[in-house]
Amino acid sequence: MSKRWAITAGMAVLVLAALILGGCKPPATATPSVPEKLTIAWIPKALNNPVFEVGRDGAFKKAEELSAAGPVKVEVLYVGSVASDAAEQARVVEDAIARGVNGIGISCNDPTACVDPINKAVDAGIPVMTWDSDSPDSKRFTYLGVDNYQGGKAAAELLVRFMGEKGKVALLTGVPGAFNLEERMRGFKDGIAAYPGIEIVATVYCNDDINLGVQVVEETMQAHPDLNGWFFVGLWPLFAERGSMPLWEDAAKNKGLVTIAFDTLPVELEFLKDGYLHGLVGQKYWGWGYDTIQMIYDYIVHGKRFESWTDSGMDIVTKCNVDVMAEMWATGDFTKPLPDPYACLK
Amino acid sequence: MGKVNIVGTLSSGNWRRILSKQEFGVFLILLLLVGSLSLYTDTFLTPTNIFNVLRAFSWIAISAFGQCMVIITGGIDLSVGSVMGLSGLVTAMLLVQGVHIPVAVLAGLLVGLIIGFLNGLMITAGKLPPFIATLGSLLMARGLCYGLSGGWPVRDLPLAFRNLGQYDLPIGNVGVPLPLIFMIILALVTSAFLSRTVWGYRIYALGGNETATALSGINTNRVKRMVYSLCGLLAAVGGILMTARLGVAAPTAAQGYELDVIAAAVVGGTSLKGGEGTILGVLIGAAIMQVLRNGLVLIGVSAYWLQAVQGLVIVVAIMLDQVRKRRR
Amino acid sequence: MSGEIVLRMEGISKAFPGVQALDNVDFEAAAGEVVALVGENGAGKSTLMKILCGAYRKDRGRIILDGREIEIENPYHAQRLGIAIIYQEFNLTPNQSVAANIFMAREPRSPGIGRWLNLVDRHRMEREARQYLDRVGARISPSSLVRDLSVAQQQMVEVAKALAVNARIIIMDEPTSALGEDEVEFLFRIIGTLKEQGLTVIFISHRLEEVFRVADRVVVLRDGRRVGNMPIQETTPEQVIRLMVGRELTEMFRKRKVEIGPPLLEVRGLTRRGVVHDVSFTLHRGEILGVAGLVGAGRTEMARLLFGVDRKDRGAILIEGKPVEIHSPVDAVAAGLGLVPEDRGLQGLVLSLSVRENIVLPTLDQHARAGWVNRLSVRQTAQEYVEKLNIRTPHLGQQAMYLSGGNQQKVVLAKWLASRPKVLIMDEPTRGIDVGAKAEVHALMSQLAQSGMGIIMISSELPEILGMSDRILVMHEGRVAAILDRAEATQEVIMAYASGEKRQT
Repeated sequence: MSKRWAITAGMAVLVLAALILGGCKPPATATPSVPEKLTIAWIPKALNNPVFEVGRDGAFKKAEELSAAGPVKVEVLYVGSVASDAAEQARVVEDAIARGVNGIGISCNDPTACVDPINKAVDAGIPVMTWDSDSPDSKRFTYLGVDNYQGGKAAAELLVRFMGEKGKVALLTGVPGAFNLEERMRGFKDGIAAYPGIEIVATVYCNDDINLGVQVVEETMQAHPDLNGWFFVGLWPLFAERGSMPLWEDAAKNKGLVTIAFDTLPVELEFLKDGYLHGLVGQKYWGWGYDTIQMIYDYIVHGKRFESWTDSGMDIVTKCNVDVMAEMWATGDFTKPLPDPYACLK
Repeated sequence: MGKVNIVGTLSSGNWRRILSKQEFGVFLILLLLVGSLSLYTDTFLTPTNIFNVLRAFSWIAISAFGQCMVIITGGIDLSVGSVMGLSGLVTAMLLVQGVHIPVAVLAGLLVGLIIGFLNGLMITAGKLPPFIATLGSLLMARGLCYGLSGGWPVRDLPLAFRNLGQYDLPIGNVGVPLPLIFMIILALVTSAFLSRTVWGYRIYALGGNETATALSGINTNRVKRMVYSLCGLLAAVGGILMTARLGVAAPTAAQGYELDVIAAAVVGGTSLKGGEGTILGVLIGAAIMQVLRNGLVLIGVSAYWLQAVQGLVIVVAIMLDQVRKRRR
Repeated sequence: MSGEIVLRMEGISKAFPGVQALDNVDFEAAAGEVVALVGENGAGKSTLMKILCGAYRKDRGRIILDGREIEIENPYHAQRLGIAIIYQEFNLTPNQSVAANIFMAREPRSPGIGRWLNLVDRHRMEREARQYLDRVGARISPSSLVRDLSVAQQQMVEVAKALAVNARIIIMDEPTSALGEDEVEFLFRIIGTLKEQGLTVIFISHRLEEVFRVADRVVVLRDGRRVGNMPIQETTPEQVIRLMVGRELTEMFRKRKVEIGPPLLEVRGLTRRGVVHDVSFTLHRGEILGVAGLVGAGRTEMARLLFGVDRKDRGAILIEGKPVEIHSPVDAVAAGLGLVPEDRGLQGLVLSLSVRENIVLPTLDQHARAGWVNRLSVRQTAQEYVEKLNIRTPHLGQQAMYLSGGNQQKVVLAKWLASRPKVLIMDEPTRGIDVGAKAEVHALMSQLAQSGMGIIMISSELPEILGMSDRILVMHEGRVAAILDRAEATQEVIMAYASGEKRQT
């Protein structure tokens, strides 16, 4: 018996030692002078969401531009967990620290879970900024993003403009409790609170799943055939092809149903062009990468300092400017400003 | 001799008799659900909604048929959700490349069959526990989804393909969704397969007692490989139908559906210990799951409470069924 | 010798769907008494004992323990009342120590802070376990793992475990069925010790010889009723059998004269390292070859090698003079072998399937065209064998788990007869089945031999071996110790070879 104890204890000591030694190994040194090559880790919430790929392309584009301009070469390291997972993301950050990157731009899966890994990086001399999704209590130097609450308010304003000041409205969200989605809904609800004629009759969720999104939208149409407005807090069901949601499509085309959705992806632009959607509120995905890399570069190379929150702005798309937006997606060039979404409505 | 005759007539309708007994409890629960929903809402019992429910549950049910067979052998297949996603994605990617529909669909089915066969191989030749083997293929198949698609959903699928999932076949004066018809056909085929073929007998025998079955001179490894292959194939059918219905193949499609599929089988009376379960039961189980979710949305249960209510009803349903079964 | 009555069960009745398992049964037991409970399978012995130990609830009747009427709610409650049961299948966890098993769920906690942390005081546990093991006279180390113990040793652990919960009534369900002859002797010594300590032992057995050696009183059940309750001195085995079966039994263990034909199966040098060494023998048409030996002599292992369940290292098998390659049961069945395994429930039957499906399992292909089962043909075959073997089942669709042990064994036999094997290997073909069914199985074996089949019969019951075999192969430590003709074999001779005292050259 004592032998077994001894073996167990010995193994435990070995494992501990390995952990401690392994943890101590790379003493990431702070860089007093600007190195010749900057490696910036650009970490999205997950690798399985197409909007992050737009951001990634923006980041690569900026790195290319900066490298071409010289003198410092910039390389972007695109890493992340496959699915949204706060714990997995923390590991990804630690890996990036271990690799000795020069800067990190990250979209946090969870504001609290992000604090520790970010602070570890900053303590190791690696400047960190957040984009898209913040971790306000960490030592990141700035947050580039939209105010989701304001986004929700903008969606409410769009809805009222197309639907009028009264009617029945339903909300579709992804996962109950997701911070950004909850903020958008809070903004939306505050936005329509000014109009007592508008009533929210249903809030449904789809687990971030296209199939389930299609189902619950149709079921809600079934339960409320007289629905006047929808706010899709994300674009899930819109990934499905025409014909998937016959009730919703019919109401949008023939019964004046107004749908406002978040995000401005090409699939949604198609729906908008065809008259199923009336308004879109979107983040500047391109800027998540394009602007973040520029900001980290400025921070390190030029010693520039930023406010705690940098507004990335929002894209509002209606039939007035949908063609311009579509053109941007087609060319991959998001640098031009978007025309006034309300210009043609007056 | 008269006694023997009575015994004879009793045994003739025996299969059916025992089966109907087994499924009676869950069927009552389904009736109860449907009945109360029809009373509480005026939207549940409309043709559009019923067909909507039936369409949506058809691919879960089809995948659950395969899962049911696997569970009868005493195993489990966690990879069905990923297989649904991957086979739909492969089909869609081929379609976008301009491959003919039948070829693309066959390729998608083949993907499911191959993953299923590999599961079987890992379990028999590799001697891995089913849980581990299929957990591995769950991750591998999902990873392939991301890798092949680069994270983007595949869209713009040809209309003829989408019709597989969206077309309503006019029967009388109602339009019956095509996936539902596929499901009914597959239910009949798999049910007959399980109850009428040599393979079916062996599947039940294997799940009831693997040692005794092997000692009866039956190659149990072959039975297992076949069952996992079929499970993969049926999951592929489900995945392709779902893709056709949505007109899009997302790399995340059907993520987590293995739990819905397993739940459908288990709610339908398939015993996780093996040896017990029927296709009719699975069908009822899948229907309960779908009707419940649909009903809760129609009633207007808030998104924040929906899952809790769903979980509660499922647990209570299975408990009621257990109480009925025990009676000792 | 017996003290006062401690347990009295009055008018116990219990019905299951379709069966009146117990009908107004009385039962009593005194301190320091060994009561044997006998009866055919399905007579209600197990049901009665399961009611006593809380596994079933009675429908009617009273249970009086120490003069107080009690209601036994569950097995845990029974344990607290001092009633312990030792099942045929032991309830031990194989990967834990003997001490941990004896103190299962009641492990002593370490003193001080250890109590808070729920730390087990292993020294104290092993010390106390040692005491209980001493009480049953078992020389087993409390720290050894249960999986390393022999069946007999595991049984001792079960008894020690019962003592550790302060059991005063210990029920033993077929305790000798898995034991070899000398282990049985040891068990009887343990029972004697328990008796001296004033404990009550209820002993369920099919082996009347044992009952008459160890019991003070015998209670006979038949069809859920008590048909006999006699002090052992006032009765005879013949009377007990008569009460059990309700009829006189003649011609037990007697093989009919059968012409022994040409060699059917030849086994040469069958070897699996560490288990079976260089076993050779020849089996002829119409012959029953009895295989005797102590538990652990390698008899079952030899059968498994022959049937391709385990891989052999060496050895050749010839059937009708032609060598056959057997690497799996699939090959064995194809070569014309059948195996009635040792444990019906675990190896012989699929308990969740019907009688009909069990019977046709090895021969399904014969009832199918292109994979589709012809259900009429299945039913006819099943019906044929149910009648031929007199299997008592309400209908062909009855799940095998609801049949009595004897009828289950007949289903296993039926399934092999339906596949018409040339050689049938039977491992303990009558273990745990009642006297009536036993005689039927023996008659059937005679009949099969007459039809030209060769039978290898492994048995631990010497009277069965002596009565049924044409020749007897005695195994000792994985080797053939002797092959004897029936004429020269006696219990003494067989035991001498089996125990390794003698060896044929």
